[in-house]
Amino acid sequence: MDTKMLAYIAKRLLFSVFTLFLIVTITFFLMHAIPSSPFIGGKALTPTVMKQLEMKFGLDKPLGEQYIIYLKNTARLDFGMSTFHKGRKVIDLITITFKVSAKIGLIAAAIALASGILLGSLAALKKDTIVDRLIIVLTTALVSLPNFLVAIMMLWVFSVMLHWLPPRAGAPGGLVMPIVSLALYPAAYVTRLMRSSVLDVLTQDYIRTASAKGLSTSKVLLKHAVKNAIIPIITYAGPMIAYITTGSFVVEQIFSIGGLGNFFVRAIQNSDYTMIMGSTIYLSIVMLSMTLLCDILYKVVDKRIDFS
Amino acid sequence: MENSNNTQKATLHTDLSMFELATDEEKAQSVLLRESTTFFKDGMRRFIGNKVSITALIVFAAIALIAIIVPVFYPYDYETTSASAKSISSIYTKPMEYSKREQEAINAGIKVFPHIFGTDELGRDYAARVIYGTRISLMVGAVAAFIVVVIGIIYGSISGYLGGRADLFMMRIVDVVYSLPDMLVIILLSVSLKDIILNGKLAGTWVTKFGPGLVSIFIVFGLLYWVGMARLVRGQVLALKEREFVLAARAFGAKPMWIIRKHMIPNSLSVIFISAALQVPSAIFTESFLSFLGLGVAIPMPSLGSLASSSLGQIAARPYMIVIPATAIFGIILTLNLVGNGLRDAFDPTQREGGR
Repeated sequence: MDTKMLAYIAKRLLFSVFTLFLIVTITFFLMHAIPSSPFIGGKALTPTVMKQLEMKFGLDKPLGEQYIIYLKNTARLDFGMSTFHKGRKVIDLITITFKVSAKIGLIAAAIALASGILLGSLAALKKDTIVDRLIIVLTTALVSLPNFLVAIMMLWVFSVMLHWLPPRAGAPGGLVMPIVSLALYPAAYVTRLMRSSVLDVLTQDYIRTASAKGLSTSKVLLKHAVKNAIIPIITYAGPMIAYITTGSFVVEQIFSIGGLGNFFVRAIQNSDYTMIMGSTIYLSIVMLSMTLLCDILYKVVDKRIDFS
Repeated sequence: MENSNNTQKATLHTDLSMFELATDEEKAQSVLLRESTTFFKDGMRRFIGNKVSITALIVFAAIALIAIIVPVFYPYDYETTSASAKSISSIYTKPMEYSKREQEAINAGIKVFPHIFGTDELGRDYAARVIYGTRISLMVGAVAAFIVVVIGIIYGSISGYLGGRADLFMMRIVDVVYSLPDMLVIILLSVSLKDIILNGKLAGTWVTKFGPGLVSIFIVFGLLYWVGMARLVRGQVLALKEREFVLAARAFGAKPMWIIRKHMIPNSLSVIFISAALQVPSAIFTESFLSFLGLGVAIPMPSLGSLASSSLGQIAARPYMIVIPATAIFGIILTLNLVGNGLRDAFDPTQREGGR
């Protein structure tokens, strides 16, 4: 690996760390701008109890000091205790639920990438035929469909009407619908991306060279066209995998999956502010590192790009 | 005559007397083979030739017209219940049926407008709620796109025109905003803004009336979503800066703001317009998502997302209550995407997907 590459990686790493610091800071000040106290709700508290609670959580200290403490704790991934799930540490809740989300998400992401690359190549190679048209129509419709609508529609058709699949994720076969509703949008997106990428590659000189030197059509397509066309997909794959594995907030809620997305939404509804802060930062770390990883991978794979 | 000829040669003025009118025969030779066309006319011709986009535009216009006009004369609004005040339990009415109180009125000989889609659990006319919800969703899309366009144009054109260090610095800010995970920041901002608006200093002002959810969506779009547009406009301005007509304007001593207003922005309008057209469905997408999480518009105001989410429990008993708002969301986003794609293909063929 040359120095230019290392410099690029260092620069990107620094940038990601700065972005993360920004998110941490925004999270802190936004949560402190909220006028309502985290202890309101449930029972009415007397002023003395309130004071004691504030002292326990360090909320009586000046804002600057609180911020420093918060930064130190965040660096150790210590997000404090959940204000709603009494006696539970936020980071414990996150790691438990993240495993659930990641399992479903990785399957969905793999399906989305595989089917997208396959269908996209197919559409490009059969350009302007009925197959291509059909794929275009289908993907155009799918990228206009929010995943919660896909989830609801599937729930209605396959659970309520046909009784083929259970409405909750816990039952056998219950993960089929959540995975499909998570995978459909990225699959459609990857298909479109792949199609234009393959079409782009097919106009390149090296394809003509490969054909000219007598390579069979299938070899040209597989070894040169599709392989090179996948490269642009890498940059999209990073954020996509991160987004799906961290759990789509709504899909998890609809199918009662105990994943991070579902917990995050419930934290919002319960005004569980420590959980909201912790989840936001944790999810940001996952997303930023996935993006970083794929960006670096992209540069490693595609030698043409310069690093300036 | 000789005298005047000499002076004219010296001043390089054209002597009109040396020209003669073209005869009809000569005029006939220079018949226009094709009418001269402008960039806009050419693009519109291509857009109108695109059957899919035109159909989508017509469908979208129909949806928008219904959402705007129907509430004017529709007998129900989105918050008045048609049931008697006494009933406590949920009081759904099936499509085209009447509540108890209305049935009594009909028996007494009073004409009652039917509930086309029935009523919700509080006896509110569902058709009215869907139509108002569509109105809200469309408004969110339009306002969000407007905010994005305004901030993006101002920021992008200044950055691109200034160039150098100022440009570098301004684009670094764009990079940072761009790398923020948007969904998380949106949720975080909505949560805190909602609380600030409801419980803080802004409580009780016009903001509360308008709905904290809507206001926070607009703020979020103004804070986050302008970066794409700013990058686009900057790229355009950077390219235009090298063009001869800008050099000419500068040579004549035109001020930077004048050049930006008169040359840069008009010349990048088509690109801006296409991007804005695709911004609207993205805003509607986000709004429906936030409303689904309960972070969108304020109760009792409906939006398509909140209607779909509040009807989730009724999926087995009254599936139409979900299918109707879902179809509306899908219809709006799909038609707008198709129109946007059509505009892009017509005005900016270089960006066409797999075109060439």
